[in-house]
Amino acid sequence: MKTDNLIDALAQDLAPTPSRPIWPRLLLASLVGAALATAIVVFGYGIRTDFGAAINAVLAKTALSLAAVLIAAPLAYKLARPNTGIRSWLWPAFGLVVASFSVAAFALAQTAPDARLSAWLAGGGLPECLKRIPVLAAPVAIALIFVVRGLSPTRLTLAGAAIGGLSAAVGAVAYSLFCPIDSVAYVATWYVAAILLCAGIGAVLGRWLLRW
Amino acid sequence: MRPTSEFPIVSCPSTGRGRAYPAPNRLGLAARHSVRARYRLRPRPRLSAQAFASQSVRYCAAPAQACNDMAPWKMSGARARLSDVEAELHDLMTRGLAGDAAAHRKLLEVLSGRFRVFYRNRLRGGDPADAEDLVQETLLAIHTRRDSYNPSQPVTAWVFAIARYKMIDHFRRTRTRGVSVPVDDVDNLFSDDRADACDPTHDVAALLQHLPAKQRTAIQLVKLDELSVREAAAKTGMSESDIKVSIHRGLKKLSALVAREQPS
Repeated sequence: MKTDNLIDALAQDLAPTPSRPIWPRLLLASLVGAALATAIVVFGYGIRTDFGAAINAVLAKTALSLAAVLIAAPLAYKLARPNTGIRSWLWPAFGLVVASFSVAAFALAQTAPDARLSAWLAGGGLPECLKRIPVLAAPVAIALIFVVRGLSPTRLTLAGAAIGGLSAAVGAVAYSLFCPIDSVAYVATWYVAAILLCAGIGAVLGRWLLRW
Repeated sequence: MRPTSEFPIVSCPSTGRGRAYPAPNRLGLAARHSVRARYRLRPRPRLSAQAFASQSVRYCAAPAQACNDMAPWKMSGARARLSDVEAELHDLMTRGLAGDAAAHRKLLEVLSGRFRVFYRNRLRGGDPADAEDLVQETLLAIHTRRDSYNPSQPVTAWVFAIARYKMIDHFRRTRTRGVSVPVDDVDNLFSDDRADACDPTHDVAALLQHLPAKQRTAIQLVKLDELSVREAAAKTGMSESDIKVSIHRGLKKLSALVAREQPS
């Protein structure tokens, strides 16, 4: 087909295309995913039994996760469309990671040397949240990928990483209702590590899942 | 106040190459100032230095030496020219989004020329037909995805972000699928005699045509029609040893032919 013919065909029967804001769609996808993640926590994992007594710790964990949501959301919003300059929006993310790991290191420095490992790993082995936060992130990520594909992202790896990070942060908000461990070093390390892990998975899968 | 020139971006008169999209700001304040002064009276997208610098579209390696002295960012008032382009495209884009078919067609026409240069420069050494395919794909993407355009952003950056994406997608596809063959150049790609290419008897019959008649009939009767040597001798009137020798010589010649056609 000749390019001129293509242009003729495209310019025919042109309907007005109002440019709609994209944030309602992204917000809706995130909320649907968050509702699913919360349902998994409530009906699958069960809200922690001492929820009322430990409300401050729960709120602190929720606040950390919400901060991650607020940092990842503009990145996902920007990368969902063509033509993206995100460099200035990356600094808060770096800041959160550095601050959180510093807090963990500080908290570990304050604990007695023989209690450090148990405070950091809380129960030993692979921390539970590294497994459960990705599970909770999955519904959010699926909903977001579904929406973002329609918004024609052009930098798929970065967009995938942003979506992974955002959905893990949303998942972490839901997970904080269940998480029975209140050690500062544990939360500050492994919550952020789980979010970074999901961002990495998203970066790898993004270029396949987000193609349009 | 509108500039009279329809598409004032600079291109080299000898090769037709030019800059299609904003290069990062390498100019001083004076140039930017002149842009503001020139466009103060009409609405245009805000194109701050940051907006240009933060676009994901990056300009490529320098074009041919011949065009270097014509490069827009080396000319004084170059940003004015780029902004001319941007203002023109933004105007067309906005009117196209509002349903103005003529403006939309104009936008696609202008962009197709820009994309052709963009892709040909990047696929240099490749097939020009690939570049044309990419131009069409990108135009199509810009048309179908035009609701993803954010009117507060420069059109140039938006369209070339899509062009860059399409190019990466093209490289990803061709790397996994190997070289592509232009369909236009293959005359009988779908003709009947290609349709039975997987039928071995067709190849054998074609090869047999290269043999002398005597060897051909001998092989045909004994090897393909599965007669015995004696039956074949009776049928053709040749002696049995003559048949055997013909088959032997014919097969030898055939294998030589096949080996020559398909050097392994």
